[in-house]
Amino acid sequence: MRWILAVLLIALPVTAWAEIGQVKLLAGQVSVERKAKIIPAKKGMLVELADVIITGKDGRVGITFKDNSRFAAGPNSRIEVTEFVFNATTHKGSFITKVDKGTLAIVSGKIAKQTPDAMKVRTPSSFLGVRGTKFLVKVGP
Amino acid sequence: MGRLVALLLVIVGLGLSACGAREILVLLPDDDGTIGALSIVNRDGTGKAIIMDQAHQMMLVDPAGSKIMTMASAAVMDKEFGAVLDSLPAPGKTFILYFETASTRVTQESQDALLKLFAEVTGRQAVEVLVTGHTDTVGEIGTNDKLAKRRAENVREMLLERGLEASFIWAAGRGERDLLIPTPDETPEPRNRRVEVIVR
Repeated sequence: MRWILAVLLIALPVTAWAEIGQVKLLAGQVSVERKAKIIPAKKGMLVELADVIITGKDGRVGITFKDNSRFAAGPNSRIEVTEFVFNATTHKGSFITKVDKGTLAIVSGKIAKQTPDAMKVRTPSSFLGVRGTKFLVKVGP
Repeated sequence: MGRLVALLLVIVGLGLSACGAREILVLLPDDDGTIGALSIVNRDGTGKAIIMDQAHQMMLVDPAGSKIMTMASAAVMDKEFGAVLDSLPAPGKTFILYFETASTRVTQESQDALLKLFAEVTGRQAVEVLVTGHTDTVGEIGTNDKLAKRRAENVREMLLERGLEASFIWAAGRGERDLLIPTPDETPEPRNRRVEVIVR
């Protein structure tokens, strides 16, 4: 926790962007919960920190992030980006995703390449540190 | 051997298949064939880390939280992860532009690549461009950080002039931290004086 705070303090001045990624493709019902509002997702939409990605039973969505990581959510998913800090000069940062339910595919990017375990995924049972690069997570009902 | 039998009994006893598992994790080979790794601890960060580092290695977590390591079959991959794998955005296309010494001018040799970059960004929908500037090792780190950033900003400006939306172009400089051709300090190297552009 202490080092996460340290990273935040060092990296924040250069990562003042609200946008952390972009919706690249989608099908079926996909929405984003942002500040307690539900917004329908659209191709090209920018993704912000703390957005919760929600898909319906036929929904799926592909998102790219600023550290060049790529991410997809399958049907019936609820996935939140709880932390995203990226210094584009040093590539230091942290990227934490929480999967409440559904499926997630990730290809990690520059954050995980620069610092193994700086990218993490939290599931109801586990906390995953990512050392590279392509993996899948499913959380059942 | 005894442990394996015990493990099999546990699997049979719980009726734990991929379908019955509460959670599934699978490690896949990267697009270039190399294998990464995952380190797994309990949700609260406690417990001894379990490492997954083989292609198609699969961890199943039952509703009680027990973890079992196995391998993912093609059938499981299709059934559980077919839809999500189809939705993964394609990797970006990378362009490299080279620059004149201590300058933000793109070299004559890179003009072709620049035209190809423009064609690529104008031909795409929901396009996003990551622009990263670099320098060789001649000069101070601070100076090179600024030069790298200015090179990236220059490419960004050129993309803006072609009508690309500003919020989808992200420019940054890495100075001399990420050499394409490794050299000692204070070494002029044309291939390190570059901007890498990822279009995705």
